[in-house]
Amino acid sequence: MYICPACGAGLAFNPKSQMLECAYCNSKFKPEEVEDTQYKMAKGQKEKKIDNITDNEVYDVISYRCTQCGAELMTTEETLATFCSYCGSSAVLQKNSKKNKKPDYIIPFEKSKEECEKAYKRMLQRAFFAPSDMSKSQQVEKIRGIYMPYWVYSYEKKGLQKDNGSRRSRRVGDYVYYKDYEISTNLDAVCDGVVHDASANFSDTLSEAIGPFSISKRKDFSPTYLSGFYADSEDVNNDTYVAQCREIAGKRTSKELAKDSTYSRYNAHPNVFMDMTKAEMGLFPVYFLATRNRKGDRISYAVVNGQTGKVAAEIPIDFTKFILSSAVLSVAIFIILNLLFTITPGKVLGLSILFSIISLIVSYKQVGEIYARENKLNDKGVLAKENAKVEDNQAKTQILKNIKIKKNLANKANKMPFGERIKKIYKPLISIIVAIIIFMANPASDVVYYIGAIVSIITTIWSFFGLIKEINLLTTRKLPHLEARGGDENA
Amino acid sequence: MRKNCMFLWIMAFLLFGFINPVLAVTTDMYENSDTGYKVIIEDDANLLSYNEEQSLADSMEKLTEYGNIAFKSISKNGYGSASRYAEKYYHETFGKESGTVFLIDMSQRKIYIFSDGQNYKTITKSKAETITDNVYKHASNKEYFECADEAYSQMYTILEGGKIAEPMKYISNALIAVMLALFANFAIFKIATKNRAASVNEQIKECAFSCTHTNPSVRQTGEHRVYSPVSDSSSSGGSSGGGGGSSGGGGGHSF
Ligand SMILES: [Zn+2]
Ligand SMILES: [Zn+2]
Repeated sequence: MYICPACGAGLAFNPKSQMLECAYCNSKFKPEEVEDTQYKMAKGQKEKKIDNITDNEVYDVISYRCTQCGAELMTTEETLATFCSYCGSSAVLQKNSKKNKKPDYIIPFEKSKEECEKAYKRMLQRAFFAPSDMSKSQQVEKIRGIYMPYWVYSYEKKGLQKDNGSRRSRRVGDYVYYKDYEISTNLDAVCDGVVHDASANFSDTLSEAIGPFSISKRKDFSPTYLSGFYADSEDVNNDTYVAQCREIAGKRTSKELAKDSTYSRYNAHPNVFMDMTKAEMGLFPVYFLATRNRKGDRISYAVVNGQTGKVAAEIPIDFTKFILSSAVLSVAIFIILNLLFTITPGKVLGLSILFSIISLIVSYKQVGEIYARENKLNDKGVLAKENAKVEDNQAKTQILKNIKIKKNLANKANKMPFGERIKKIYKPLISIIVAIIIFMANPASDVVYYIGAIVSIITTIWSFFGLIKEINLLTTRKLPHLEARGGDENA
Repeated sequence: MRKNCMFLWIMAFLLFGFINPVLAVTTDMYENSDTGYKVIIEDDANLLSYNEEQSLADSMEKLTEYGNIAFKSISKNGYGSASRYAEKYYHETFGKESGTVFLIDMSQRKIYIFSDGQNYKTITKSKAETITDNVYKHASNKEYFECADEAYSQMYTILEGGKIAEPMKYISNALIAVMLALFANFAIFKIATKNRAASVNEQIKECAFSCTHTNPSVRQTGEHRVYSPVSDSSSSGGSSGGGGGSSGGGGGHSF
């Protein structure tokens, strides 16, 4: 806890003024200055304590661990933390004092909690069919400013860069001859600040959706920025994202190099492979909110970039709202259809086929996404953590078991099996098959044709309900559980 | 000069109209007193006996509930195609009224069904094709009465079914409306709640980036060839068939 030097009350960081403010006497202090004085005070008091790590590398925090899901959040002061930001439970939080490794730097919050609540509410309004529980003030207020750990990579390429190109030279009969060239240059490129979140709690899809952060505004780390906020600790190794971020840096450099006309003249597309020079840890500002569904068995996350205010949220569909609104809309469409169109059995069948194909494509995509999500295929952070767990197990258990684990992992790394996918998307398939049968049979009697077309349309509508269910799976996740977390329970 | 030209055209048109076999004497066999629709049989090709004509007229009567109904057989076709003849004949006999004509064109050896008005909504082009497809074998066997009788009976089934299909249309429209509404709402929601990942370019903009390089040197390393046969690759533009202007339609079959 940082104390106001003027009156002794607690200080909190205000994102709007970028200062530590005292709520009692309205004094304002620069974060770095407070740390210096506080540091001296602390030294005076705790001189007898034995620390085997130098004070330059660590800082004191109070950690709150959720007994429900095992997630851990840290603050610099005693707060009345009453709920967990990752599983939404208000279970007892285990309080603990500890020393935490200092990150290399921090991007302070710039947006206030109120601004982000508003931005999130706006998004919910736009979503229209969002469950009304989600936008209740008492729920939205639970949004919490958390400094998320991010890996910040630097890459460089110094030295010879060789690329291949070719130029058409002549035609001989049915063959065209090309001359191949090697283009080399001495490159000196630096790309600093390709980032990726380093917390397994923070899903990659969400973190990528609220990016980018403006790294140029980073500050040297001071624990004082944390007053009034929380921090998550990094649990994903920096090598997890090296390759992914290297590709970004490489693309940027290649693009720059390609501006040299020599490359276009020889049809060469430079492909620069960068070397990582450092991976630093930064704390980035993110507002985080977890909302449980009505049944309480699944959870949706909403995140807001604490620097830019960009929102990303998982919003499920409230079935009742959706059906009511669709009913009103269909009455309007029904009237228009009767006024403007002469319906024929062929048209009915055609529309049914068109929409069942759309349904089929959307469902195919969504089912694959759900599969990847439930098996955590799209989150490298979680995968890396599981890999580490397996490797750990391998050291401990015998070979037979290893093979099983390895097989499991191999399965997970692959995409969803085709057969399994088909099982999930049979509804629009039925509709299409029915339609094709009628089309082929082409019964002379209109009535038979109509009945067939109607069956096909009903199946298409049925498949649409499937799509909504899929959305609700996609926008919610299983409640995080202790056993699902990496082996850091003993830490 | 221009006026003269026009006059000649009109004369030619009228002349053509007079020698047109369509303008043969019409015989009304029956007129439905409720609907005002008529039964007309013109057996110019002499395919039916007197008794057959009477019998056919009897079975055609009930079709006047929905529209005019005609039988026409010809041995000479001034229009070249059966479909064109049937259309002309129908419009000159019944105008835009609802109805159907069954044509046996002996010169082309073709049967054709043409409908217009309300009848065309039920006896559509594809329906007409289905019926002629079902009955052309009789014509091949010179059983012209059976051929026509069967065709009228199938037309009647379809027209009767058309009456039943009316509520089907409302059900279909309602279901289509539900389907479109669900889909529209679904699409709107998907778009409104999309969490778009920051692009590589957006991310890169935030990086501290510097890049310098020396003047590239170029060295030839070899040569390769690609198979690419010389061909006149002129693409042909698609031709689009124009048309329209006439209402109604039908379908036919050779025999
Ligand atoms: Zn104060
Ligand atoms: Zn929890």
